[in-house]
Amino acid sequence: MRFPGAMTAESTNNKVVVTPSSSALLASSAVLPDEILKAVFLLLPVKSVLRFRAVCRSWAALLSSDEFSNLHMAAQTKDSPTPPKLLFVSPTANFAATAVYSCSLSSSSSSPTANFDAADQLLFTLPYARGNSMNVAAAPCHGLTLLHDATRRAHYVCNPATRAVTRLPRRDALYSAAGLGFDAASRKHKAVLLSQHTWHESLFITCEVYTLGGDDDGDQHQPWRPVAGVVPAAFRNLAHAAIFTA
Amino acid sequence: MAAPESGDGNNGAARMVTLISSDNTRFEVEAAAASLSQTLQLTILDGGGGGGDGIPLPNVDSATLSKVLEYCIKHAPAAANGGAPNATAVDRAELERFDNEFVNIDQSVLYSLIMAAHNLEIEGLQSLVAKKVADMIKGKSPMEIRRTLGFPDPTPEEQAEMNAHMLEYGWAYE
Repeated sequence: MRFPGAMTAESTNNKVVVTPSSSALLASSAVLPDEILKAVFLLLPVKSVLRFRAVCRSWAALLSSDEFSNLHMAAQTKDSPTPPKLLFVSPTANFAATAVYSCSLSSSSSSPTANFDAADQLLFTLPYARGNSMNVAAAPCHGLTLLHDATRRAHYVCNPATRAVTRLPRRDALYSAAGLGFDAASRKHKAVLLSQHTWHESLFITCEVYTLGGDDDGDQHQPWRPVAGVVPAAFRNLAHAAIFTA
Repeated sequence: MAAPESGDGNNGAARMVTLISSDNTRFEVEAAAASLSQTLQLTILDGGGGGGDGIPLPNVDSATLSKVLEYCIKHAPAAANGGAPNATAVDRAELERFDNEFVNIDQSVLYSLIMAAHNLEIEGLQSLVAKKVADMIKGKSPMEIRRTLGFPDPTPEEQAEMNAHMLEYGWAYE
């Protein structure tokens, strides 16, 4: 719906053709061109974006696409830099489960207690996670956070914005440390696990990688993948330190 | 602002251009204000729109164009300052107040404004109306959106998908 004919002053005498599509658009005041709709979507809060995925399949496809997610994340952080939020875990009343909360640190709200509306901040509960042994991993990575249940030796990865949470396949090791990384090339998160094992009275350390959202070949449920067998001797002290200071 | 057939562009120091709406109303406006439109900018830079010529805007009617120009005139001084880095807080607050008031309009007018901002590529106005639409729809349920947009009622299959989504993302519906 551009009108290039109007770009130059000489075109004043040109006959202007109003295309049927443009008059149809003007007639029905409900249909916005995709381009504008996309601009509007970028301004919506995450909650609305999630909800609008249910409007119809074409909205679902658009609002679930990686392209949109990336643009949305960029737009949200650029226009209104989100104040940092605190993510914290707390055991439920009987210690059988863990509740994960987010809490705003901004003081913009009129009364300080308004920030402690518990119902608003409860992101999700993890029913099988022992409440008194959960840790939030030190640094969130590209939107995702790693949680670790030391008692059950289970790792969870969660997205506080969408409240999606997934448990990583279990690895049995007495001592281990895990971290999250983001592969910018494949645009996938990867969890890295260093664990110390004992084999015939000798200690060795393994390093394994788990790709979230499946491998490039689309296998959703692939297991942890060993990186290079045993961690080379030169790095053993470093890996050992990483495990025991985690 | 709406001055049919007035002057030849020599009105004081500021250069004037003439814009012609789809219903043939002529609007004379400062070139600086009209240049907020990316679509018109080059034409104006090349000296178009002056004198008796006028730039025809076949997709914008006079009611909408007058509204668009109201925005441009208000925002032109700040835009000339390069986004007004040295604008006072009072100026910024005044522009913000103007913007809020400006989009507090009937939905059909808003719709024409969206299309005009899009066609004329007026960046500030595009974001302003997009923000307004986002604010209008962000609290609606998927069903309300469908009705607003005039979609047909969901098929049983679609309805089942909508219900499943609501179960999965209950918190997003609160």
